[in-house]
Amino acid sequence: MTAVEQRLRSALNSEAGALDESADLFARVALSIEEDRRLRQQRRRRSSVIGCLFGVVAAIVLATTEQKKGEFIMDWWVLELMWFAAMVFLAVWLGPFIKRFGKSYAADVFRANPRTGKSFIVLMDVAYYLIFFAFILFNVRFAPAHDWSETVNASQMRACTTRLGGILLIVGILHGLNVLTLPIIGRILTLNRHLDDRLPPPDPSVRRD
Amino acid sequence: MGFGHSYLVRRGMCVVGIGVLSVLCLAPQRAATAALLTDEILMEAQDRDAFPDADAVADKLSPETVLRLRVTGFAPYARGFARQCRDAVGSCDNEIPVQFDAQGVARFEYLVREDFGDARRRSQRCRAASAPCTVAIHSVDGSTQSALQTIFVDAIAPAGRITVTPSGPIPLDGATVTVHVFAFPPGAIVNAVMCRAPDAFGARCGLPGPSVPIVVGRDGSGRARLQVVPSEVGRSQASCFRGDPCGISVVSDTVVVRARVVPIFFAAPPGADYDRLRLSFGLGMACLFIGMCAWLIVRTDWSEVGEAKAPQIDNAEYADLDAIIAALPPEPETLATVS
Repeated sequence: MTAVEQRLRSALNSEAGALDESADLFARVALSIEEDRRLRQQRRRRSSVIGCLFGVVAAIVLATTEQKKGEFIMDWWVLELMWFAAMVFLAVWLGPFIKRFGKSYAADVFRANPRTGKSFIVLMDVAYYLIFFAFILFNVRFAPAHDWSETVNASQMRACTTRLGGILLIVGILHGLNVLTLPIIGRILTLNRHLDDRLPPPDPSVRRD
Repeated sequence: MGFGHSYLVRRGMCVVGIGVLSVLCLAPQRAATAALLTDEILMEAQDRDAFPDADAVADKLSPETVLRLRVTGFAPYARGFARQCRDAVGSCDNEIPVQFDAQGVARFEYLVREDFGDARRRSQRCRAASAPCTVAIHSVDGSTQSALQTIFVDAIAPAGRITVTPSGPIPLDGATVTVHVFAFPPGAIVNAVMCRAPDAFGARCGLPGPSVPIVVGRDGSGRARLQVVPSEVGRSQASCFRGDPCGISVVSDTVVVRARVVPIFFAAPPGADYDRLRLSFGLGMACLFIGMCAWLIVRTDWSEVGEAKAPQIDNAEYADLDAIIAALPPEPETLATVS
């Protein structure tokens, strides 16, 4: 061993000796690799799910569309059924968003009344589902409208997109109102609670008529 | 005084007030002395979804005439109104109440004038060379009506005829038809229009619906091509879409024309045909995709990973409602016992 090598070894040894050895270093690195792998798998599968949904729509369109005189025609009720399925899917998909993303928000707003916060989330979920399904039921058609044809035409396409836009608008407005008004409601409830706490308990000897 | 063919019933005896409820139209003193009394005219209630008979017309009326009317086909004991209208129901006046009897019949006398309402110009006087005028009788609830076209002084030519080719249902995306008119006043300019029943002219005919002018030739015939599409028609925006009772009529603002309206109806084109193989394959593929989708959703661990997990937020003291509630003292249960 040369002198240079000797000096280098002693320098590295002294530096290594100064470090604290982490007992779970390997476990953390392994976990990080595992999480990365899981994240990539989730992305892949999410894309696959979206691809499958598009595949379902494409397969149904392929099965129910006929080419006649150079035009593609589909019976009006097929699009209506697809619209209905899409609306139900949208309602079921958007419904749990409050429970999923609104929990922390509600917890912060109702931190003085946590039980109220929990009830609020459950009740809002119910309210959203009721509104979604009421809107869907209001707009279901069992016979083609005046300006619809037996096959899908521009009026029906427009009606479908309008109804889809309608439900998205309702959801957007409800969420917006929720976010804006919730802090006010939470504050009022907190103040009410403080007010109740300050009042003395009722005197049992005083008879109220 | 002449009347349309089969629509009028001539009776040699006075029937007013015999066995039925009748309403007497009290005309102004000036008119009562000058008005002529017609023979009895039969008017039948018309179906709201059908067009009126082209023969429902009374011509060569004196400028002030008392029509002796017998109206049938209304509901028993129905109440209604009789009124004179110009251009169908566009402008009406001279309204009187009408009471029908147990058989849905009403007999009454009704003074009609050629210059009713605010018509002062000659062109508005219900003559042969003006917009058509009618005596319209309708029930109060609007469910039943009857109409008689009235032409003062002038005689009217026999009813013309309209044909529409090709006949048969018109596709919902529209079609061009050829409208032929026969036995119309030579040289007249008329319009072939789409009308909503029961109107053959007036507020429920023509623009913004299909309309095309026709110049009637010397032989009284003419033709034009009319693009017929489902749409709203006339000033009242009546709907002529699939299932609505509509027809092709011929109208004119300058000359009285009458012809039986040709009913048309819009029909849906045949729908898509389903090839069994294609349908089976497509639905099979859809089921396969749904199955794959369900498998992916069920078999994937969707729990949040890395930063998305946001443990800092979850661990915050206010972020877990369940934990906060669990930490609270139990609810006092004795409040209800306070008397």
